[in-house]
Amino acid sequence: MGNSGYHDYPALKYFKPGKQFSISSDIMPRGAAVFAFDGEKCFLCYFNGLFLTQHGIELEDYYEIIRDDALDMIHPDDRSGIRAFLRDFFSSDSTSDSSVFRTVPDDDSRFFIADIIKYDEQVGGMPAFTAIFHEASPETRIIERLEAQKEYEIFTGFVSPQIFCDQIRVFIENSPDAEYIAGCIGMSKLRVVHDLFGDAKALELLRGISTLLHDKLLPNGLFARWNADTFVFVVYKKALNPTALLFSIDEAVFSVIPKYRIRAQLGLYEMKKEDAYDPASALHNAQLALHDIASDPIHRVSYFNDDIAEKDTKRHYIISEMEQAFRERQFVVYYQPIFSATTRKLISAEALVRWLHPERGIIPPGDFIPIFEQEGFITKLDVYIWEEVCKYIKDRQDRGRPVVPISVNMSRLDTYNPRLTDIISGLTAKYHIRPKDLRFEITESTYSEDPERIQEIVRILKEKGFSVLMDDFGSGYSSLAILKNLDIDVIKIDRGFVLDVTTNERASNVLGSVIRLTRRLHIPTVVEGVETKEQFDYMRGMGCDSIQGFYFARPDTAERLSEYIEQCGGTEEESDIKAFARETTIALAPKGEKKTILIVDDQPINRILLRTLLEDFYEVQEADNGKTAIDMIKQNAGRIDLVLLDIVMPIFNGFDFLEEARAYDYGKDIPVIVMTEADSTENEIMALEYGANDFIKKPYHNETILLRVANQLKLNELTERNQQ
Amino acid sequence: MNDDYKNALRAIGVDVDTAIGRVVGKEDLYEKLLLMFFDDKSLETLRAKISEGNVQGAFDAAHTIKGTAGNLGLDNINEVVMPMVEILRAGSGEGVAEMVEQTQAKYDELKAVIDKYAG
Repeated sequence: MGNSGYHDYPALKYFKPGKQFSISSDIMPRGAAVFAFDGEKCFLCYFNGLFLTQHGIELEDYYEIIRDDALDMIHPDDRSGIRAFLRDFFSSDSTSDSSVFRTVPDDDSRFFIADIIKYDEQVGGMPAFTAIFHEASPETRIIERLEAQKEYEIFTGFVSPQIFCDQIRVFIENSPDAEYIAGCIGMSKLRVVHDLFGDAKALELLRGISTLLHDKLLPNGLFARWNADTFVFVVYKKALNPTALLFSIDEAVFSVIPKYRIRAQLGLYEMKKEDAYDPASALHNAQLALHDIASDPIHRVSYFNDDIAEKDTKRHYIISEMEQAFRERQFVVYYQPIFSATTRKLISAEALVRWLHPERGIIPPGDFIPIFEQEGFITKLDVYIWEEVCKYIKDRQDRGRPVVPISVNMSRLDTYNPRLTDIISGLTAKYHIRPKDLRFEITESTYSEDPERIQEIVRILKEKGFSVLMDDFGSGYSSLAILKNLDIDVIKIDRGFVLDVTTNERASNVLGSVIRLTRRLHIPTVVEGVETKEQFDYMRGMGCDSIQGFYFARPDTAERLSEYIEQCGGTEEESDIKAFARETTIALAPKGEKKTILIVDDQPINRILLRTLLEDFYEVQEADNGKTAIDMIKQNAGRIDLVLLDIVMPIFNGFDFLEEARAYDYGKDIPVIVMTEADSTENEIMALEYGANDFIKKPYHNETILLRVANQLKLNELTERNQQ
Repeated sequence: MNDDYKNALRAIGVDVDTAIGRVVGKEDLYEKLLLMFFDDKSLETLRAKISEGNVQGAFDAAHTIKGTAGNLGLDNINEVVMPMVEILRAGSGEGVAEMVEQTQAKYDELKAVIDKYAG
């Protein structure tokens, strides 16, 4: 179908759409229009010819409509309801919805269903949507027809699969050369009708659909009700118009329960010659095609294809083999190290499961975890992995080797286990493991499902000394609620951010704010999925504390993790010091204004090193000799909060600086930390005599600097407060 | 900074890993600082002070080298410079001229690696 017969009417000039609106209904026999909505009024921007016909609008009236609120076209009783519906729709995340209303102000009997879809672009600064209208048949019409066809009074289409398949065989034998299509109609939420409207309505609905399928399909094929909410059929391929069929079903549903929308979906399978002998598997394929789109809110028709077939085969072998695989210990724990972004030491690892299949090789978790979740098998696997991890930690402990905390996944289903926390404590007790070495990762989506239950689980786990990590943070819509309500130990930032931040400024801003927020709440962050140096640099620059990803290490065996720990295992102590420095910085600068530190050193390399370390926390200024430093303190009267001072400088050395600074008003109270060589005790003593507050030996450790700087700043703050 | 470069530095005795930790993991910056190390004139100053017989001046220059090299993980250079600083600190100049030449050799060795990978 082309546009012939329909005319497209231009949008109002002031809307100036950037490109030609294109809506699917230009090629569908339905009234369609694009509206902009400002929260109160609706503005018609574009419509096709059928829209006018459908709503009885004369062409010369359309100038009236486009100037005014399009909601005026709706029956007065339905207007405020539609307005509220649109507001909800635009504040929600859904991209499509539908609503029922009466369009014609003076006619109570004409009901329309509008399927609405969010428009990608704004129009005239307002959000916009496409609406596709179809008129619901008057309820009376179908009821009359039902009465006229008494033979269908008790008929809802139910036949046994056996009989139905026999019927199909006979049907195909009659004209074996024709092309056939097998179909499966899914009516999601049909069961809800029983609960909401009672059995009588449900039966009426089933009869309505049966009647409809009888009318539409019987001359060209066969149909049957397969189970509670699916119908199946086989018809001549050329006789089926899937869209028209769905449209008729929508009408039939609407005529029985106009207030509640049940979405019908269609799975189709184009039958081959040999399928004539095995109609059951043809119907099964149609059903698989249907299942493939069952949770898809947009697609309503799905054709069976090889991908669907493969998914089903995989699913089957996974389900049939999982128990055996479990017994044969084919599930193996792999570990992905997590590194500190600053020290690059290995500070933790995540335990991940791999299925080492004797014939199929390594099956990636994405292939089997979702199925295990559906089958409930995941809970068994999770506990198994937790125990394997405990054994690993115990083994290292027994051999006197260092241990890092290991995080394990806690699936959604685990959280429903009333014995969950007892099982976990049982494991750590059995293997004599410190609870702090086992960490649990809970995903944001698990939290969203039932925040209160998860809060309780987190509370108990933490009481017992376990750490809890929020996994996939930022992937859902509850991130802020989590930060507000959940006493979480570590935030794992969703890998989606890593993919976006370097190219998407918005994502980068969001991530920056999240990290600032977590810092204020003293929650360390791990970022997952870091694969390139660019991503690593970026994430570290943003202030992420630790990194997990291919850039450092892939998930690998327990042996490999042990090697990593031996090579570059770090202790938590380092991050504690950093956390202290960070806390101090935040405490000293509650409104975000940073303290200023002056670095005095004649060697540019040394200045750069110190600046690099400190500028995450402080404002940094530099001077390359003592004289310049004195000048800077005078110029910045009162705004230099601490001095890091090198002693050996060619002109005006550290001692000269101290002498002059201490004699000057603004310089006399500034904390000065002297950097001395490890071998020169006499310099240390001399520096203290000259009025230095503290000294740090070179070559220094970053943590020492952060700690001592934070200490001096804190001390100075306290002294000042006391003096006031 | 690729692994080959790092390994080549490690091979001549540079403590690359500690140094990168000190620049909070910023490898690019570490590369730049290595280049900057050669802009510093302390080794020339050291040589000049020794020929002038100025032990205190020589000590200051050697001391500067020691500090910077230490910060950059240049253990290979400090292997020679640290004993030299001690001799100078004691007010002696004995054997120092020879040590300066050894230091120069270490500089050259390092420069060759840098030129190969960062040039």
